[in-house]
Amino acid sequence: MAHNKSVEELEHELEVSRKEFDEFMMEATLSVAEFFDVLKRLTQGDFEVRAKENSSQELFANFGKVINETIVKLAFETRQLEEARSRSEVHARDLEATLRKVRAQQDAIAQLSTPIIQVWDRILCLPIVGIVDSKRAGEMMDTLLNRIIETDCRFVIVDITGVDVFDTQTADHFVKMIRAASLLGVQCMITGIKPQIAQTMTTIGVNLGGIVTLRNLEAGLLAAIKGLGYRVAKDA
Amino acid sequence: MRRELTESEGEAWRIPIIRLRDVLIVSIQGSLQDTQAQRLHEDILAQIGATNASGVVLDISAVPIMDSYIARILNNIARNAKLMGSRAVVVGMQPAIAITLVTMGLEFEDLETALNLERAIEQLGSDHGRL
Amino acid sequence: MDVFEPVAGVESAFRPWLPSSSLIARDEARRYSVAEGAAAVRECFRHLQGSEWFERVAAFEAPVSRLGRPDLRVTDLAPAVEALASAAGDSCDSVVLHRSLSRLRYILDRCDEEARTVQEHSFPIRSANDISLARECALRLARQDGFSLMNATYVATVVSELGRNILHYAGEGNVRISAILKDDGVTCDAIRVTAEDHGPGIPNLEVILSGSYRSKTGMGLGLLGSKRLLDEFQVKTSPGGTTVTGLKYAPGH
Repeated sequence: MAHNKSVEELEHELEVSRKEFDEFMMEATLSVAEFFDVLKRLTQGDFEVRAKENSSQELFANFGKVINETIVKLAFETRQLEEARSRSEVHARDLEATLRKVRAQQDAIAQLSTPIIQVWDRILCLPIVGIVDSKRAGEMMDTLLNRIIETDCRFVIVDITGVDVFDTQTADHFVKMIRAASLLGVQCMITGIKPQIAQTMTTIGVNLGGIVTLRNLEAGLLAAIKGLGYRVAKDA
Repeated sequence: MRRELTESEGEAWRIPIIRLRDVLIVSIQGSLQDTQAQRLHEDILAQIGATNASGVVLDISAVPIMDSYIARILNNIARNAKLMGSRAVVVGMQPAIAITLVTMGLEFEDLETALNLERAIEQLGSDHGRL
Repeated sequence: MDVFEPVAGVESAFRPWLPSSSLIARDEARRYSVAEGAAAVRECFRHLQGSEWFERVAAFEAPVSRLGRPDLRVTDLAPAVEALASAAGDSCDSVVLHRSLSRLRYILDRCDEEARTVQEHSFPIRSANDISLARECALRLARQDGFSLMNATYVATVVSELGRNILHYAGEGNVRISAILKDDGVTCDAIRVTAEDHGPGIPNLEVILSGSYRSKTGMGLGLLGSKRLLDEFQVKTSPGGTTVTGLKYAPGH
């Protein structure tokens, strides 16, 4: 019974309480300061840091344990993430390399299919094979015009013997290309129009107004050479 | 510096017309201003009348950009030259301009073209220079 | 561009969404590009799609779908963020979602408008000299931005045509040339040409653009021709004025 205790005993108990309280506060302050330090290190990227788990006060010991468990979990998850990320980065790089290779191959194929050949002094020939898409047509036009200037060209023979499909778009590309070359001051001609292409052209309503058309490459070449002023004779 | 000139001062920038035997040669440098173009049109026709030139060579190799307006003026010069019994030939069109004009869908009924000055004069000498 | 990655399974009271390529970082000093902001919004929207708030979110798909546009501005991001916020609603008890939204708002505040559209040049058109200047600059800018000579010539020719129309039909106006940048904030994705005037407007726009109209003075040619040279083309016209906007894609668009 408290009231039976002497004043000395009460004072002693108070002293003990105060000491315990002081110790608790001291431990609290130290622990909290240490926890703040651990958290700060954590935000700076240090996953190795650990909080004290052996505090004399059970509350803070447990707190320290929880913090450490969380850190371990965090470190693990982050490592997983990093690994997955670098794996997918390598994968993406490989894919990109393959894609570049494929594109380069496609370009090479496209270039091979529409060469511009200088068949004679100042005569250029464009044998078209297969289908020409818009992008390719644009590049072809640019290359052709520059070649015309480089070779001081006078005649351009566009041979479409190898063209099977002729739609409005393709016709459009050709007409544009020939008109552009004509603007530069060369004479253009189309050779090798197959019967079905001729029909398609009429059906679509392609206006080749002014563009000379000849039967085949041979006829075109002959006309162009004569156009340059040569006389073509055959030794008996 | 051209930017700062007013319309009246544009007189000083009249494009020179050179005469080579019976051919007139006009070399257009850089951008052609609207007033310059109109002035040029008048000057060329006047010169054709005065010299009885058989043709005019319009050198546009130094022109980086051409829009439909300038293209039309060149076409008009050619048409009027024809009406006066002469001819006009445009030389030196840059590939980028040719492709632009063609993509825009512009057509030139009266304009003749040649790859360079030498060919242009040759072309003007012969009747048509075609196949 | 992966700005965010919600890390599943880690419940932590003191951690926001982690940027995928770094740990918890102090980023007060960093400014985000508008593209990064858009990526963050899209990521959050994607995350919400699997959740119970999906129906509410689906109703707001429109502002989020605009995030893919090349001319995106910071002001476009705010509606998307607010749409997501209202979809989540006040009854949302997901701490994680709330945190992601506050992070989005934070990014929105730190979005740098300049990082998106740089190099906007404005040319008042009052005389033929102005047209010359505008088209020469257009050519130079397009070349600088990696356009081929051909495509740069297209852009410059369009500037010339539209400028001339302004001069002939409205008396005066303005032509703006802007380079629209890609997500990296450096490479040009497209060039936009905007021609504005307060002229009398174009009365027979559809006829002109259909190609069947042949004008003696040739305004139709300039407009139709410009349309053929560009990848995107739009005309808004009324008796109070006309605005023509065109876009030419850069190589690698």
